[in-house]
Amino acid sequence: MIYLDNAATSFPKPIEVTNSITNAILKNGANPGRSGHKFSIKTAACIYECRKILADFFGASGPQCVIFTLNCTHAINMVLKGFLNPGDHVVISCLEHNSVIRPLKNLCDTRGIFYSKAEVFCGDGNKTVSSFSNKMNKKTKLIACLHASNVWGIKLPIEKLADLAHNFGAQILVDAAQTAGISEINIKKNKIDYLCISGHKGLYGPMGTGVLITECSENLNTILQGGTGINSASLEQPDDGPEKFEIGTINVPGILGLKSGLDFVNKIGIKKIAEYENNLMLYLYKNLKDNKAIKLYTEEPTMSSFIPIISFNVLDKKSEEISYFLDKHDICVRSGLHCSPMAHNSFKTACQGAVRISPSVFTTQKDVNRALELIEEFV
Amino acid sequence: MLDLVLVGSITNAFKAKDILKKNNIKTHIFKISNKEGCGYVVCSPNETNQIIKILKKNNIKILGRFPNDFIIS
Repeated sequence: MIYLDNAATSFPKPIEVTNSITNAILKNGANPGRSGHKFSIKTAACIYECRKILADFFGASGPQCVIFTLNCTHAINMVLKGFLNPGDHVVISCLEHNSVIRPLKNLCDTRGIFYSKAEVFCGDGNKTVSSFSNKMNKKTKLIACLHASNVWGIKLPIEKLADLAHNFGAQILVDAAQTAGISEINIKKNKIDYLCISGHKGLYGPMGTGVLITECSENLNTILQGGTGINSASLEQPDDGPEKFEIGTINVPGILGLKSGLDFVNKIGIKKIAEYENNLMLYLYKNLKDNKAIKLYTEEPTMSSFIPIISFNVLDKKSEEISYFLDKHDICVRSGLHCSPMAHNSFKTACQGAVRISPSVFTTQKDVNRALELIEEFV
Repeated sequence: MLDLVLVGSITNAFKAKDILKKNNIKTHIFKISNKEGCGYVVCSPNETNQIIKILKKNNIKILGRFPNDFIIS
């Protein structure tokens, strides 16, 4: 099998991740932050270590800024629903994933929030920022945008957008589902107020892990309430540490697997991973471009403007036909709308969808060659 | 008298432990329950007032101070 669907979730995982998960089940089986026995505190110490590593990785002040979630979508919901009040306005990009659009639409319907869409100009950060600026108004409380499109790979100028938000007295949420582990992100340098990440893509952790990293958690109401392991006598949600947002039992094996994933990425280095994957996709792009039957929708991907994702179509064929053909030959790709109808509307591929190829550090040149061979055969 | 300093969540307790370690103060983490609720405490053979001063300086919220009448130091 050749797996080229790493934008959905990365596969395979490093063996260290698998071992950590097994180890967690065998040796860290107590519930952290609940009991007072040594076993619980030992497990809690491992979780705390993971918080510290995440804080360092993303430039946060400390482990108290790290909130574990089920996935990136959960983190995004926590911010949107915890931060926005009736009458607030939000500016998003025209490429957003349903993880941003759907909760926003829900907030429009139930809480009287408004939002506007800004156009993205690939490779022209200033024009993109202008576009966002034109949509801002005195009620704008938040810019919520992806760091890079899960369909087209286009990167947004998040630091400039953060400056724009702050100049307007607003804050910025960055959906880094596709960029954590592939792009250097530092919440202080990049001035990000709320950074939402997937644990299971570029960070090579297991599915069921996500993180919200923020220095502004005091701005967020909790959207879920329940047991946090402390102040049990009180009916109020404790206002204490990241645990305030982590109700119920957290995914210990997942988090400890994520810790190993972070160690793996740190060992190789983000820059090296990004260069490797980008070279594979550049090679793919150049070969697809030569074929007149292939439709590509962006310019040649450069590391400054793109992450390593290529989406394409073959003539007017439904994208599912191509992915089905590839699947018959044991190549895994994703076709359709990729939970991002807006991204497809922006590129007029809403009816056809597109076939997306996304590598990981485990993807080889041989894998890409084989995919190219089969795409040619399909054509 | 070795008092227990209540810092709330386990994350705060580990953070407190890290901060105190940087100040050469060895601490232990325990969980206690009383009528105010339950939470994690740090306990050390050192002077509790000094511990509280260091933790407050480092923005660790102190939620209470309890006599150590059941933990053996």
